[in-house]
This record gives sequence, structure tokens and C-alpha cells, in this order.
Amino acid sequence: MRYWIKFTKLDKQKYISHRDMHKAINRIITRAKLPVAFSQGFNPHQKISFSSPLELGIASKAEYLDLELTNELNVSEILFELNNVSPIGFEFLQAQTLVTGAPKLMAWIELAKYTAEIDDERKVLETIEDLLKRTEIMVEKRSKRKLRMINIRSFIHEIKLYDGKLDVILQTGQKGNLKVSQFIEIFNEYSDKELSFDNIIKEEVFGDNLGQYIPPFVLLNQLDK
Amino acid sequence: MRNKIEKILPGVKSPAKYTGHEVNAIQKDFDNITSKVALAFPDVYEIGMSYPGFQILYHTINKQEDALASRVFAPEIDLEKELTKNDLPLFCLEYWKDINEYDFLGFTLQYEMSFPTILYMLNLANIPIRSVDRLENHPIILGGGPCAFNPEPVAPFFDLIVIGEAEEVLVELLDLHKKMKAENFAKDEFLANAAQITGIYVPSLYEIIYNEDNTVNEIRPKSMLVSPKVEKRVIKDLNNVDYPTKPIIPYIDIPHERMVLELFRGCLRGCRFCQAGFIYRPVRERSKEVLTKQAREMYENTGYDEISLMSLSSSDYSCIHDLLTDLNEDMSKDNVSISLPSLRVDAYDIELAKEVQKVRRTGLTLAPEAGSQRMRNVINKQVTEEDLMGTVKAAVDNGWKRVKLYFMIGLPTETTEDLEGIADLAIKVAQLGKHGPMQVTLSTAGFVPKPHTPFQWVRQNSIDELMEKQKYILSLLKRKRYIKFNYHDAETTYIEGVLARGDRRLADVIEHVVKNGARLDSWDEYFSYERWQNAFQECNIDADFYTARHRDKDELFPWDHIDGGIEKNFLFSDYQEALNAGILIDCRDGGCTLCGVCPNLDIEINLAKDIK
Repeated sequence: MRYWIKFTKLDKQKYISHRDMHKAINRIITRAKLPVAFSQGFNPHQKISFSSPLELGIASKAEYLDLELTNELNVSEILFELNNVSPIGFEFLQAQTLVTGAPKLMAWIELAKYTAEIDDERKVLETIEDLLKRTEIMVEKRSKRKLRMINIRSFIHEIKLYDGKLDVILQTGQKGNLKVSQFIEIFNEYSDKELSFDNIIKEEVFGDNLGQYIPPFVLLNQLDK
Repeated sequence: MRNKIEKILPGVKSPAKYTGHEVNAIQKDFDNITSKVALAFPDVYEIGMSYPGFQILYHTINKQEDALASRVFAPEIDLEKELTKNDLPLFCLEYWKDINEYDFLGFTLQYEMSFPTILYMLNLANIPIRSVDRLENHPIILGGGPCAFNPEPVAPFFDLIVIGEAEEVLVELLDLHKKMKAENFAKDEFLANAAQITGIYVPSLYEIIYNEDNTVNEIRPKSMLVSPKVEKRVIKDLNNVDYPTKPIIPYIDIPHERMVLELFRGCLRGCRFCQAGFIYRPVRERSKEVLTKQAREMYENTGYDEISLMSLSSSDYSCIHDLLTDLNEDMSKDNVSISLPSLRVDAYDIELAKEVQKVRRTGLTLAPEAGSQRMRNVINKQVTEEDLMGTVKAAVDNGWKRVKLYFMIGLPTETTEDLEGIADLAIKVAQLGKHGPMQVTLSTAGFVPKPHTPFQWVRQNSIDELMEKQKYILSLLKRKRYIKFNYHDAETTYIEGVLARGDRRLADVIEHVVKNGARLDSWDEYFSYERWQNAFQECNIDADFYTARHRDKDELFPWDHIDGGIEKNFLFSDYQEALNAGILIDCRDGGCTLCGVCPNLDIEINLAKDIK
């Protein structure tokens, strides 16, 4: 039985890398004594996969994992057992069984929404307007020793100021990826000022279903109908 | 401070080394705790977190209701730069607070080459390095660990040093601190009181008087109240002390990522080069029941998939078969594999290793230590060439494919034949391969005579001698491409030797190298021999004095006031026996050897098989 599980990576957990988080969650699952399925082969490992890696230093309220168990458990029981043995910062918020036709998390998720606290509201507002007006924002991209310039304007889906906070939706995942740190770099370049972005949090992720961008659990509900 | 740390962490490599938020790390209410201890490991996080002893200290302190322990390691260079740039002091992981807010800063002294890193960390913490220069409000600097058995080269930097096993004495020290803190103590007063506790050495209470030839004339207590000798602390029954079954689980990769079960302390095989074999006597085993219970608890608290059975010689555990059977039965259902590190050179161990279900059969590591039977007798390593061949043969038959062999060079009485023996053994071992010669990794380390061993009197080989010997072995292995030959850097070995048997005057040298940028000197990439040479010259110290001379039978050593319980006479007669290539049988098999430990410390050998 497969499940999607939404969890947080808050507080100091933002300082651990994706790979180390994978290991930490393997151990949480072991300690929680969930009947996790193991891969076959010489070196069996837990059947678990994650949504796209979060940049080190960024906190998140919306990480997702795909977990396979050998028998069916009540989702509230799964969440309880996981939270029971989890360190501060990791909190398992929601779980749902997978319905047929559900895509792979990593491939499906295309957008991520972040919020950040800012100090210079006027300057930020000016820069937002400037950025959104442009059709071309070129950045250097390094891939396998090659350095090339790419236009990342289309990777910025939304920027707005809301309640004194910056809200941005950036492209993430396999079809293109704009890191928050890259975004901040661009933002500072265009504002010509070293602005401070504090308490950056990934709020939610979205994927496409019939032309609409929706969070993973909304997708499961739509597929279920 | 918190905000500044938050700002710099995303920019350094592996920030999770500095956050202190690992699973099973302990957070207490900092401001409402009386005795706060910053526990320092003078090396980087990955190394420090691989030492089970460090976790024992952490656990022992945190278990006290009114005390807390927080860890601190040497920062990597990238963090060091950020600290300097942002005008931040070195901080402790758990609370991100200035070390000056703690009552104690305790360093573990695991190996001599970490001495410079201690001063480097004190500098980063803005704490004066010498105890005489520190004020009332600076933390009390505490030391302990194997190198505390000759703490003299670092003595001027420490306020007090724990000799021996810490579990009980630390609690006594914390109790004293709590009591005296309530009375608003003066540091001197506290140290004088602490010196009354068995196992606590306060260096400032002893004066060292030297002879004209630079040897020690007298180690003189400055007051009638301090004992001329500091007796080590030893736990009589290991079943009565707590073991951290909730160890901290690092997020980042470290060399030893597994549960560690400590089977026993001490070793009575009497290998004459091995300091651990003398300073941790006698053997005290944990009972099989306690161990299986601890293993289960550790698994529940960690989720690790490997458990390592640790001690100085794990196959010597008196109930090893039963223990392995029980552990296998209990742990295999959870996919936990059992590992036996440091196999001995006899076939018995291969039998044991076979019992361990999922042991990794890729590489077998054996340490014959010397190349000829005569030389193995000199060092009292009681294995024969037949033992070694038999073990390797059994291993090959059971699926092992590669062998690592460890030897020492520069041992006392060593001749060319002994070196040839090393190359010969490696070649013979390789010939045991099933399909042509198998891969052998041959490693040699330069021998460093250590205090409290029968070899504390001997001359250490010079850098040139060691390099000659390395070259000679290499020449014997020409065209033997299946043998990979590694050897330790002779210059590091030399400095280690100077520090190992050094006296207080070396503190100037350590201070000098640190002023000139020394830190993490146990790492080849940071070690600079030239820096040490300069320091010896500037401080007017002849380093050869510490390594390149035979010491007289009656010479007073700088560490003679540190009492491990073993009679100096016993060590000397064992040394004479060594020079005649005579062996000394383990007292469990051959009767008491009169080393003195049991009567002197009022203690007995404690074996699991005798526990009813």
C-alpha cells in the first residue's frame, strides 16, 4: 500500500542536506516501527521517495514523500507513530493512500511557493514591478563543466507583496528549477541593493492537472472522483 | 549571537555539524542549570562524533539534574573564517552560546597531535590559554582521556585533569561545584577542594624541579594537602554504570555510523607497546544480560542497522559465543548486522566472524605488528606465523577477498631480518589467494614509546631511521603489484613521540606552533614539520632529548606522579624480559604477573562468565 505524506522541515532541520534528510527519515520510519516495504536485492532499502530537493538553509512547511508499506494502516496511525519518534522540526502533517493513476511526486511537482520577511518594502515593490515587466532575465547556468546563459523569466511565476511579506512562486523540479538563493541574487541585482530576506519558508508545492496548478493532495482527491 | 550564526550557517559546508539539533541531543533550560559544561573534542565533528567515550561523557553529565553538557568541536576553516569576519566567538552546538557562559570547558585528550587544536579552540573562544592568565569568571578548563596519563606538555593550560574513567569522578566534581557555587567560591578554593577527589589532578598544585641534564629531579606538591601521587579512577563493576543507549545520531555522514556496544574495559594480553593495555587494567566485563538489553534499547532509540562490539580485544570476551548467539537471535529479525572490529590473528576469530550472520566479507584486517617471531616475542604479541596463515586461509575459504596487514617499524632491538620478515609475511599471505596472489594492503606505523608501558625507557627511531626502513621494505616489494604499501609520515611520528614523553617545558612549544597557525595537526594536510622545528628552536628546546635517548632505570619521569596502579618495577622487569625476547602470559591463563594493579587499586578482574 502506497501513501503520500506531507511533512515539515522547519527550525534547525533547514540546515540538513537532502541526502541527510533522506537518511534521517529512514531512521524515523525504523523507530516508528512502520511495516515499510524493502526493495529486493543484495542491499535492501526502504521503499520511499521524495519530492524535489529543498535548498539547504530554506525551511519548509510542505515537503512530500511517497512511502510503501507492506500492509494497510490507518493514516492517522501512520502520522501518530511518525511524529512520536521525530525530532523537532520534522512534523508529519497529512497522509493519504495513493489512488490508481497517481503520478510520480518528483516528476509531477512543477511549482513551489515561498514566503520571506523583508525590511525595505518600498524598494521591494519597485523591484517586483521592474522584474515582472521584463521578458528576459538571463542567468549563468553551469551544467557538466559547460557554462551557458539561460532566460529564467518564465521560471518566476508570481511575485507579490502580501501582508508585509514577499510571496513568490518559482519553477521547481525536472522541467526547470530556480533556486531561492538564485532568485534572491537576481532580486538584489535588479534592486541594486543588498536586501535582507529573513525566515524564508517553502509554503506549498503545485503540479499540473488539466491545465490547473494544484497541491498534491488536491490532485489525489480529484483523481479519486 | 543567534542571528549572526543563522546568517552564516547556510554559507558553510555541512552546517548540520554546528546546529546541535541531532536526534537524542539534549536541550535543557540553560539559564536555570547550576553546572554548565562545554564538552570539547579537539578535532572536527566527524571525528569527535565517532568516539563512543565522548557520548558517555555527554550522557553522564546531562543525566545530572542540575548540570548540562553541550558539545563543541574544532570548526572547519570555512566556519573559522566566518567567525572571525563576523567577530563571533567559538560557540557550543546545543545552545549557540559563548563558551564563556559555561562553568567548565572540558577537553578530551585522545591523541597527542590534537594538543595544538586545544589552544586553537581556546583562542577562538576568547579564553586565555594558560591557567595563570585566566580570571575568576573564565570557565574552569578540564581535561581527561588516555593522554591525561602524561598531561605534562599541556599541564599549564588546564585547571584540572581527570585521570582514568570519568563516570563516577565527574559526578563527584559536579556535586562539589554545585555546593561551592552556592557559596560563591573562589577558583583556587574550588581547585584545592577538587584535588582531594581521587582521580583529579590539579597541575598548578605541583612544582617540577629539573636536573642540570634536563631530566626531572622532583615533582613536588606545593601544599601538604595534595597527594604526591594522583591515583587513577577506575569503575569496579561496569554493570553499575550507565551506558548511553540513546546516543546522538548525527545527520551528516561520519566514519562510524552505528550502534556501539562496549563489552569490557581493559586488556590483559600485555602487548608491550600498547598503552591502552596498561592504563585501563584490569579487565572488567559487562554481563551478557546487560549487553543484550543495552543493544535492544539502542536499536529502539536510534534505528541504526549495524551494531559494533567494541573493546580492546572483543573476541576475548568470556561469553562471546553466547553473546553473539543471543544478539543474532534478537537483532537479525530487524535486519541489524553485527560487526566485530579488530579481529585477532587466530583462527578462532574467523569461526566467530562466521557466526555473525551478515558480516561484510570484503576485507579482513589483521595486525601481526612485527615481522619475525623474535620481534613478536619482544613486543609480547603472542601470535605465530602459523596462526596468521591459518587465519588468512580460513578467511579465504570463507569468502574474504582482501587482507590488510598492520605492522610497526622502529621497535626496540629491530634488525634488518625483522623488516624482511614484514615483507615476507605480506608476500606469503598474498600467495594464499585462491586464484593467484590476492590483494594485500600492508601498512606500517613508526613505533612511538608511550608512558606507563614497559617501553617507556627506550629510544625512539629518528626520522631518518624510519624513512630508511620504509625505503628498505619498499625495495623488497618491487614488482609485487598485488601488495599496496602504506606507511605513516615519519615526521608526525617524531612529533608525537616528543609530546608523548614530554614534560611541562613543551607547553611553550605548543603555544608557539599555535601562534604560527597550527591546528588540526593530526591531519596530514595541516601538519607542518617546519613549524615545529622553528618552535623548538625559538623556545630553545632540544626535541631529541625526549625521543633519542635511552632512559636510565631510575630516571624520574615527568608522568611518574600519575599513578595508573602498575608498579614501575614491574614495567622495568617486563622491559628486560622483552630485551631477551621473553614472553609474559596473560594473567587469566598463567597466574598473576604481579603488575600491581589489583592490590594497588583494590580491584579485581571481573568476567561475565563468573557473574551468577
